[in-house]
Amino acid sequence: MQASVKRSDSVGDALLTVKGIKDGGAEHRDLRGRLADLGFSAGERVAIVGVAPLGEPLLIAIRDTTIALRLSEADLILIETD
Amino acid sequence: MSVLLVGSPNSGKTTLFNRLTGLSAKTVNYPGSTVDLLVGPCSLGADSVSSVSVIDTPGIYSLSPRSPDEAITLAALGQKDVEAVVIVLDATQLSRQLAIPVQFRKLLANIANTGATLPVACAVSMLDLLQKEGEVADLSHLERELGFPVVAIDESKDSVQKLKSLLANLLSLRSKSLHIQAPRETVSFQAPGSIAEDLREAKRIKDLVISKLEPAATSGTRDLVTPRARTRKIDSLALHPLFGPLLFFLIMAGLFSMVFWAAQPLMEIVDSSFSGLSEWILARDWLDPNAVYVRLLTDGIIAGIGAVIIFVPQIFILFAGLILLEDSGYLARAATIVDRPLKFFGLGGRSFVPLLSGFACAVPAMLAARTINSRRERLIALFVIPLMSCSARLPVYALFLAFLWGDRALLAGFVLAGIYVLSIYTSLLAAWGFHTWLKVRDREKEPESSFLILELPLYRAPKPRLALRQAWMRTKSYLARTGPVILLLSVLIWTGTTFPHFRTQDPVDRLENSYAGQMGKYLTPVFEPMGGDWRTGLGLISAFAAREVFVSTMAVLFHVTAEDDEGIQAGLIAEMRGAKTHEGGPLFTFASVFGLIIFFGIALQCLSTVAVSMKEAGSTSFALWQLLLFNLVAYGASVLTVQALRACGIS
Repeated sequence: MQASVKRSDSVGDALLTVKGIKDGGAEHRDLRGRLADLGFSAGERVAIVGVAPLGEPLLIAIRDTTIALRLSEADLILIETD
Repeated sequence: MSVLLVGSPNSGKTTLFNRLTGLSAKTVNYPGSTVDLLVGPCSLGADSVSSVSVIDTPGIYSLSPRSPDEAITLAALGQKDVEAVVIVLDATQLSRQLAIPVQFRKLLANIANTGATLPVACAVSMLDLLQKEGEVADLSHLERELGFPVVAIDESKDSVQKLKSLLANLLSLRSKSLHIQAPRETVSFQAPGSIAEDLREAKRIKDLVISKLEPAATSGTRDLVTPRARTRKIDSLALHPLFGPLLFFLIMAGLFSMVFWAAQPLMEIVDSSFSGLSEWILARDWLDPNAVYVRLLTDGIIAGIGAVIIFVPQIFILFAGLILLEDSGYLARAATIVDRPLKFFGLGGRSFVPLLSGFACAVPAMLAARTINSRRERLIALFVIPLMSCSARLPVYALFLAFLWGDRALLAGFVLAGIYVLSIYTSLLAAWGFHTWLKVRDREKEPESSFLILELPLYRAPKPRLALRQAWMRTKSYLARTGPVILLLSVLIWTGTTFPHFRTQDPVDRLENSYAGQMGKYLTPVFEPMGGDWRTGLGLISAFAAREVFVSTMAVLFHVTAEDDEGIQAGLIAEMRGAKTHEGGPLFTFASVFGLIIFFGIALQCLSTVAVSMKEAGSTSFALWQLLLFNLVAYGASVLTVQALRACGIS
């Protein structure tokens, strides 16, 4: 099973496994590339460590770094669910 | 011969650059683009190739560029005179940042058959921070894994010296080699293969190289995914739903009170030393104070240079504050907080620093917009930056507010704050309008990629000395960009307001019948709906040299002379109260002065800004439309305000 990263996902230290990045069309080429640069790819472990005061962006921990992602950007990241 | 520094954003690259080159660095325009790179001389040692230029490049995440400034870094790698590359790595972020040397290794292997080579060295920073986290890096192991020489960079001079001698070695080996170098410009520096693979390799190397100081005590406390505890603790406050925004407002308020209050005495010193210099020149016996060249020097050139230098204290303090906030890691959090509200207007977290800098001066603000990766968002930011209330408007507002409410300082203060808030609203409104227009215009086209993706670095104590040095570098670059335009305009306006009746003794007479005065009179019908006459018009024309010149033109027109600024203002206000239109009514009324405030709030009178806008947007028509549109809207809004107030019975 898989799902996109959403605001409703549990915020905290729980580790999630990335399944992959959605295609999302040509306009997301650079976005997909940047997500890949930051390490978002199949098998990578990430955690949603927080949400900015106004509910967006999401703060996602990956490879020792926190990355702020808009909901639309986080939506491209697929995570494994059981 | 140049050495290129490359690395991720926040890798400590710029700090290393400053330590290698010292204060003599300058910005250069990279050939074929509008982007400035910082270049500084660096002496590597007594023998061999002793002096090289070190070039600081915009941060990259991989060898595939995804924003215009990243593309510059990649393009710089192909430059002929680049003889070596130093990859700067943050020791606390190796599992991601090592992808850059890994990609370099692959790339150099790929181009080896063409005969092109490029010596690479790695400089690892932040080792002290890593140690604080209870971890240690084995750099000789890293060197073996990467196949590139690795140097640790710490606080000591010794570590920088080590890097220098390493570079000297690499460069002398290179010059001795008998290989005929293939031109590197033909080689693509784009990353070969998949980044996921390179990142896996980075992770593998990192796991080999980094180990815990006390394995038993600290194992299991960190999962190597989530950031370190101290940073998370600070973030739980800085990004708290309630305290986060509160802290944000406190920090921004602090920054701005520094910019305005701390700069005030320095600005007064600049002002009095320039007017003092003019007076000194005019008092020389061997100079005729009425000679054309003497007047050109004092009223044109010295006044023009003074008009640029006067803002240096504010701009320097703003830069220093922003750099300190950036180095501490807070600025990325501030951008995160404002992303959501800005998104609605087609802007985003990355537009935050450029817009904020617009409160000091539009020129550095526009340069700061380069970090915005979306072209559309960058255009929107460039479009609205001139609407932010820059510091050149302040002396003009000060005059108007003193005229309207000189006896009620508190009220005047509130109105001034209101003007600043209003400038934020007009900028956002303009952003929304431009955003909507762009959306309609481009509806047929493929939508353009726009994303935020901000990295929130670990919090660390900023280094004030380095921040001040960097702020000075940026201030110099500001001076280089605005100086020539303002100086030229200042001389032009001086010519226009002095000739053809240079010999006329009476300054008012001279100004009234000057070219600019005649133009003002000719344009009287234009200024009348604003509640002004030719004198207001002449002031507005002269403000194209620099906005604050309006005040000094008014002072000449109403022949006010005084020893100090306060005297000028008091005298000028008295004269303004007495000024009559040709119909006999008062010239400066509540309505007409309020209309002028509205005009100055919107008008784009700064031609240095137009020049920079042209370059940064990469479009002459963009900047010219901006110039035309803002001035027309300013005029329209001003006329509307004056007429509406008059209709309500407020003259």
